[in-house]
Amino acid sequence: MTSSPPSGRSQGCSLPDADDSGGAAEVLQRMIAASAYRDLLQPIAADVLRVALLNDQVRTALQGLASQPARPARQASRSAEGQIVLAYLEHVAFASPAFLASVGEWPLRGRRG
Amino acid sequence: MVEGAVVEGGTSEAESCDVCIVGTGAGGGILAYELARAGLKVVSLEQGSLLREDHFSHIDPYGATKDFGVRAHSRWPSDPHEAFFANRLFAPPEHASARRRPDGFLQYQVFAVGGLQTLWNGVSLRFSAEDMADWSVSYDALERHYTAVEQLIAVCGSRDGLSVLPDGHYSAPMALRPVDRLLSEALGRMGDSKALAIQNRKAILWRQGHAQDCISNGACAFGCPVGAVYNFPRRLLPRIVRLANYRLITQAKVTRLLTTRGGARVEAVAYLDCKSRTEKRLQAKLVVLAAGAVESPRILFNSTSEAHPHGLANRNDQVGRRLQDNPKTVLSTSLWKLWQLGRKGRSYDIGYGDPLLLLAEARLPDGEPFRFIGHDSHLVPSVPYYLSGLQGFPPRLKRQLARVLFHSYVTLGLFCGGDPNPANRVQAGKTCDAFGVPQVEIAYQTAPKTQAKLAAMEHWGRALLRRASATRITGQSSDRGTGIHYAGTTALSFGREQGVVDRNLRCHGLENLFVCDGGVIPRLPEKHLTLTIMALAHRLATYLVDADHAAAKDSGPRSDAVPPPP
Repeated sequence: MTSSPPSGRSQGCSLPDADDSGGAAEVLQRMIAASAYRDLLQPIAADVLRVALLNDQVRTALQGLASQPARPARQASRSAEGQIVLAYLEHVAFASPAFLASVGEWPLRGRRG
Repeated sequence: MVEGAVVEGGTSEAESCDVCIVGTGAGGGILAYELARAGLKVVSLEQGSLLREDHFSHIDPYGATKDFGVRAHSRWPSDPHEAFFANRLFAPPEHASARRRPDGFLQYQVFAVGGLQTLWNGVSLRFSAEDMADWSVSYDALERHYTAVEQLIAVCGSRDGLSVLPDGHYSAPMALRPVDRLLSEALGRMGDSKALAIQNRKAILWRQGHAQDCISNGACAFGCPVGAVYNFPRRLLPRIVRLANYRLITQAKVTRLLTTRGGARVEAVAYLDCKSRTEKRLQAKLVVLAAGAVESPRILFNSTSEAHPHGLANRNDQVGRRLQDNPKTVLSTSLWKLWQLGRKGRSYDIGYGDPLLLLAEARLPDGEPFRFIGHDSHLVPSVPYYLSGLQGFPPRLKRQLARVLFHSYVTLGLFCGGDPNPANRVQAGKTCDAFGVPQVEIAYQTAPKTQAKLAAMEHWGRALLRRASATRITGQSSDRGTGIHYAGTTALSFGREQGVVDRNLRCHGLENLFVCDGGVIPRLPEKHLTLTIMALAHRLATYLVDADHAAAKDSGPRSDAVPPPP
C-alpha cells in the first residue's frame, strides 16, 4: 500500500466557489482559522474541504451554517451543526499526515519486524 | 485482473451444466475450484459483482490513506468495531435476505464474488471430535479435507497438541507483539488452569516471496489490500476462470429452484439478471446452495410447488430452524504499559493484527462449564476512533494524550458456542426486497443461558485486560448476528426429522440438491466456522467427483456424467 497526502492537489487553501459549495467553503475556512488544530489543518485545507463536501453529514451541516446569517466562527461552533463540523475537523487533524508523522506513522505502510 | 469466463447477468441462450453452485463464498469457492479442476461443467451464480482488484488498496482502503478515512456515510463519534459494520459492502436492508426489525437479529451479507469471506479475518480453526460428536459427519471423516484446504489456502499457525483444538497443516506464524505478550503474561497471572494463549491460526500469506504477501496493516477484516488473506476471487478464481468448463455469472440473483413433476429432482435454477431485471434459467444436473445460512433457506422457501407446498426440502418443517451465531463480547481499552511506545515510536511489526489466540473456560451460575475463545485486535489507529474516549479534554491536552496513547489500544473479542434452539428460526416472510423477491423473517430470542455466558465472558475479559494494565474499558455483548458466523438452518442430520441434509450434504428427499454453507453446521461450537465450511465443501467436491467418475465408467463419455449420487 502506498501512502500519499489524501489527494494529489497542491497544498494550501484553494477553495472551490461553485454555487452550492461556496458558502459552505467560506464557513469551513472560518472554522479552520479559528480551530485549535489550525496548524495541522491549514496546510491541507483544500483536502479538508473536498472531503467535507463528500461526507453527507458534514456537507449538510456546512450548508445549514452557510444558510444562516453570518456569525463569528466560535459562535457558529456552538450550534448542533457547528458541533458536527468541529468533530469532523478534529478527526481530520488527528488523521492528518502531520499528526501521524509525529507518532512515527507517516507515510502509512506496512512495516516488517 | 481476473478475466475469462466471468459474465454479468448471464446470456439469453438457454444454458445447462453439470453442477450449478449458488454463491461464491467459503463453501462455493472451494466447490467451484475443485469441481472445475476435475473437469465437470460448472456454473457459479453470484448476486454481486467481481470487486476490482484495487478495491481495498485504492477505492476503499482501511485507514487514513484515502480522504482521512472519511467516507460519504461516516459519522462521529465512532469506534473501529462500529466502523467495521458501517462497511458499504454489507448489503442494505432493501437488498438483504431478511428484513431487519428493531432489536431483532442483525444479518450481515456481502453481495460480491467471495461473499462474506471478502471481509474475513482469516482465522482458520478446526472443530474437534467432541465438537462434532452428535453430527452425522465425524471429525475423522473430515480430517483429510481440513488438511487439503489448509494446504490450498495457506494457513499459518503453531501445532499445540490440544484435543480441544486439533492441529493442522501450518506454515510458521508471525511473531507476537508487545500487546500480545502483555495479554499472555496477564493470562498467566490470572492463575486460570483452563486458559491458554497460543499462536492464532490464520489463512494469510506472509514471507513467502509472493506478490500477495501480508503488508502488516493489521486490519484483515476491513479487506486485505493485497489479497494476503485467502478469498476465492483473489486466489482460486484466477486458476479456473479460463477453463472451458467453468463459468461465473455475476449479478445473478437466484430466485427459486424448479423441480420435476413429482418433485424428486431439481431440474433448473431460476435467477434474476440484476441489471436487466429479467428472469433466466439454468438447467443443472446437480445444484449446490452455498449462499449462506439465511439466503439458502430463503431460496428453499421461495421454491414452493405442488409437491413442496412449504418450500423445498421442508417436508418436516426443518428448514430455517436452529439459527445460530457465536455469542460475542467485544472489549476495548488502552493499556498503560504500552504508553511509552508513543514516545519512542513503534519498533515492532503490527503484522496481521491478531496473532494471539486465547482458549478459556468459564462457569455459569449453576456451575456448568462452557468454553470460549478470544483474540485481540491491535492496529495503527490512523483513523482516530479513540477521540470519543478523550472527550472533555482541551485540544492541547488531547493532542499530547493522543501521542502518548497512540500505540496502546487493543480490542479483545471473545466468542462462545451458539444455541441450537429450534424456535430461533428463519421463516417465510411477508416482505419483498428491492427486486420484488420475497424475503424471509427471523424469529430469534436470546436464551437466559446465553445471556449468562455473555456476562461470564465479559467478566473474564475485563479481568484479563485489567491485569494487562487496562485503563477505561468499553464493551458490548451480543448473540444477535454481529458475530457473522451464521449456522444451523439447513442442519446435517441422521434423518429428515432432525435436519435438512444428510451426511453427504444432500437434502433429504431430493436426488440432486445439496447445501454447503454455514447452515449445515448443526451445533456451532466456540470456534469460527469458516474453515469447517471449506472442509465440508472439499469433502462434497470429492464425493461429487467420485460419483461422476463412477458414472462415467459405467456409461461412457463424460458429457453425460454426473448422475444422481448413490
